[in-house]
Amino acid sequence: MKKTSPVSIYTNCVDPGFYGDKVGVAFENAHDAYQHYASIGERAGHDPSPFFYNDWYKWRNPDSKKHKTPLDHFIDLSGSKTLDPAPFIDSVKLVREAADSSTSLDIYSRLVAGEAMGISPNLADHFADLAEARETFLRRIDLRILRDRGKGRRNLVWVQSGRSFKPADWFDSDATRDWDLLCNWYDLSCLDLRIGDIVTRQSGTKFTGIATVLRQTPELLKRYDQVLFVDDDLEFTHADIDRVFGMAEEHRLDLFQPTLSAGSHCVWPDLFQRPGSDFRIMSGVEIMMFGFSARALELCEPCLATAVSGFGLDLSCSETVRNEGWLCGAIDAVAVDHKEAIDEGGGSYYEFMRRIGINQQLELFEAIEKFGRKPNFVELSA
Amino acid sequence: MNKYWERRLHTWSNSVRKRLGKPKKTYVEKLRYAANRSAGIPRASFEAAVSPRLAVVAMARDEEARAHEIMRHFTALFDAVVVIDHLSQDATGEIIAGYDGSNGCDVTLVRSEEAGYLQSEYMSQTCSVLIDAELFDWIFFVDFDEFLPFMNRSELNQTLVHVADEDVINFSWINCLPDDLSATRFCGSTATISAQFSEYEKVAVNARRLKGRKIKIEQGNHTVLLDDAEKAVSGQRAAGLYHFPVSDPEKLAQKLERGVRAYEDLASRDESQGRHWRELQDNLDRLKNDHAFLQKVTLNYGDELPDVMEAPEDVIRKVQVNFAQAPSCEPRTDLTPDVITAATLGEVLREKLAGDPVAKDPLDIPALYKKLEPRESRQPTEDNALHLKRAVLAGSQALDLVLPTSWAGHEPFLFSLMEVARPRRYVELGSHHGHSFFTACQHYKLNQNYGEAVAIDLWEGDHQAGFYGDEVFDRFRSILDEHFKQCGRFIRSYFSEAANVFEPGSIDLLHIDGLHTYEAVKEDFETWLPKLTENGVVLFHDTSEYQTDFGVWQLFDEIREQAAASFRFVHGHGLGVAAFGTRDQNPAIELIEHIAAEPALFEFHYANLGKSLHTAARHNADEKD
Repeated sequence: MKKTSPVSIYTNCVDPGFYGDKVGVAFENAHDAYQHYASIGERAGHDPSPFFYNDWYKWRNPDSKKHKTPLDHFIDLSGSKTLDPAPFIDSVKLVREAADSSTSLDIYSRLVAGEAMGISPNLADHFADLAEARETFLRRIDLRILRDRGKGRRNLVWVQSGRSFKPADWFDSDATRDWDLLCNWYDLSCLDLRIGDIVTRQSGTKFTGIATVLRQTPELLKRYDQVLFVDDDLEFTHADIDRVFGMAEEHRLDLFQPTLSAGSHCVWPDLFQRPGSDFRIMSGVEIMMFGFSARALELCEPCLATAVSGFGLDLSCSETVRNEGWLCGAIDAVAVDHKEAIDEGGGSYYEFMRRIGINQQLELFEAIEKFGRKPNFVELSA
Repeated sequence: MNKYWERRLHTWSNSVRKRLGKPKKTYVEKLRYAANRSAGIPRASFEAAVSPRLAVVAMARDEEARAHEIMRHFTALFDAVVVIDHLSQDATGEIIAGYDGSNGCDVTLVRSEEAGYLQSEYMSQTCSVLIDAELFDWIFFVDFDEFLPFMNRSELNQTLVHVADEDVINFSWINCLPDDLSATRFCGSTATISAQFSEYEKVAVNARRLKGRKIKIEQGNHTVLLDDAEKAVSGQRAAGLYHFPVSDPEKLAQKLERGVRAYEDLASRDESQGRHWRELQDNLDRLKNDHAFLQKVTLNYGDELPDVMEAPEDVIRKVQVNFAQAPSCEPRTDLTPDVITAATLGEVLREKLAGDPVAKDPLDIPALYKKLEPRESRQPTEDNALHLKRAVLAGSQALDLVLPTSWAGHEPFLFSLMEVARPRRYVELGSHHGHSFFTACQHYKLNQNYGEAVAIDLWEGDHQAGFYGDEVFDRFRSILDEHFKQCGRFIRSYFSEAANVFEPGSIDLLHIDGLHTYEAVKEDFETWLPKLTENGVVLFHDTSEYQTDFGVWQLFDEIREQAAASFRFVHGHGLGVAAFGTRDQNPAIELIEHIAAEPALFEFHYANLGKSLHTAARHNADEKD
């Protein structure tokens, strides 16, 4: 039987002043405001408070459709589950900092009641804080080029290198190839310096690695016709890489990626390999193994040079390239295994972001706000 | 340990011996015996080097009257104390927290505001976290009314020597009724005890042996279940335990009321559990007014009332209770303990054990192994002499791992050197199977990972050691990940390229064990010397090899003049050690000078100790297989 929440809880979750301003009605109390929100306001697109984003919440919590409103879903579940009511609210962090037995519902109610807790109701403040946190982190990164023996080949494969480093298994330094290999080591504790025409060392994510190189030594990337950024746990053959670069060039794909083999982890069905197809034009590509033409890299530099978590970066790059009328494509001729589960939740990546003051959900939301759409990478060529 | 306990345990151990026959001497005991004999050191001094790391876990509720005494006891005997303050309404938490840092003991206090009988769940979770942290050898689970019958840590350590190979050990309850029920302290008081130990025991688990196992500490901390087994582990009885279930009848009444209520609140309660508490509550008036009844119940505490009443008249005796007590501390006035639930206890404890996240700059992300700060100068004192003595004794640490190696026999000296020099970074050029590298890692791991070890090798071999495939590196990697993830790192590279990853002055202890030609070792030394701190130490292996193209002996002879102190061991293919800097900033110099003053003695000591450790470790490994 569905649990019914008492009216008093609902009223603690609606800000009658804020909501009344939005809908142009002066409510005498929060209860009336909630009634209006539940019957009319939510469907008209009005948020119940500056700390609850209906649209965002519904997108992040698809099961909320079964509830009367997204707020009802939040109230019903956030007492026992940590849920973020808005993209700038990291409930896990706030619950942890509360040092009592507060739930995300308690935290939200306190915010609605006017308890600041260092959380501004203004989205612009959060974007400004995010930009500052990104700059602070990116400025602190110490980039070292341990080796630069690039042979002036046309293309570059960038491998974000850490504990799962696999390229030593597939890379053949004696094979003929038209691409240099750059190993960017983010983990100092397990370096394998045996391979790599270029070897760099810096702490951070794949995206801060790209951003730092673009900021400090852009020629390391810009001297190539095409650049493919991949993670170290993907297994390629030299022929795969040649083919990806060859097909991207042949079909004038400015933003591209190989497809994923069946059984791999990927949220976008259209990015799995399509049998019988060589490539497909897409609305965008994922950041797991994305490639750029030189002009696309130049065009996307502002997005790439500020990204930290990488959340929203696929949307930003795809939209930037497509807005120029250029093409994004998935190359079916090469399919890559990616069997490691993607850590999107409260895992170590999220904790690392928290420690450096980055809310990855907010980074994603920033891209959504900028381009006016949510990431949804589908085939366009059909 | 006082005479009473000695007699009791002697009687008990004799009865066990008669029943089981003379217990077989364990390898650990054999090893220690061998090490002791070869070192020629009195046994009393030798014990000082055998010091396991001990943690105790307890729950407390409204224990302000006893909190000082038990915390003085815990801080006298343990390296770490974890207390879960459960719903206290008084100053229990403030008193406990005041002991953090006292007598070198880390006190971790968390608070639970969850109602119910959650002891088993809390203790099991805490046990898992402490084992995973790899900071302790033994974890004890006791209550706030229980005291171990040891007068100091050495006595406890000595007892643990004999059970080092057990998974679980037990401490038998001896129920005590203080003569003065209004007394606030038990230590030094006279109590009435039963002539028989209770059938109930408390447990301690061997953290190193149980790593990776699923552990359940059962309600009351009486027994341990492993890997979802239904039958409790039968542990060896290590000692007794003073248990004071009743001091003040009023407190007893409160305790009974809370206990009964908690059981009643338990959703999935087992009716058989907590029955004795309900029975006692029903007889509360008699407990308060009938001393004979109170004594009978106390001395048979834990048994059900009908059994207590039917029990034969107690043979009682008086005992003066004594146990270890560290100095007392003031309560904390600014206490804000982390509030945990059964769901968050593990996460909170893990964070606490990992250190204060605020203290570490999250943006401190160096690209290279950073330069190490100069150390403070020290003045020669008697403490230094003791420190050196302990360093020599530390050489007898048992080996965790035995790997194929030509380096065998140098482990005791490496332990001694690391004990005295405390290198913040150890770098090894040429690790091959990793025997010497993992020996260094073992020292870090046993000492709260005070530094890090970096292995550098291509893991391909050379013409002197022979070439090999990836299986050697794969094994090295799996050992590193399994045992030494927190302190061990590696670089798979040529030595000269790996040098780019180190800032000048970033290495305290460098071990050169790569290609052993004169030219190769000279290049290694010259490339890496600038990476050494001013007061660094360099080890050279194979200084006794004079065959074909080996030339380490020559290079070592050449560089000895540059060093402040140097020495060359002959055994194990030879190990040269050269310490740089000044005596007041590099304690290794003093150690090497001592060794150099008595070369034959120390050659004998370390060579024989190394042989003993290796033999014992091999036997241990064979036994495990």
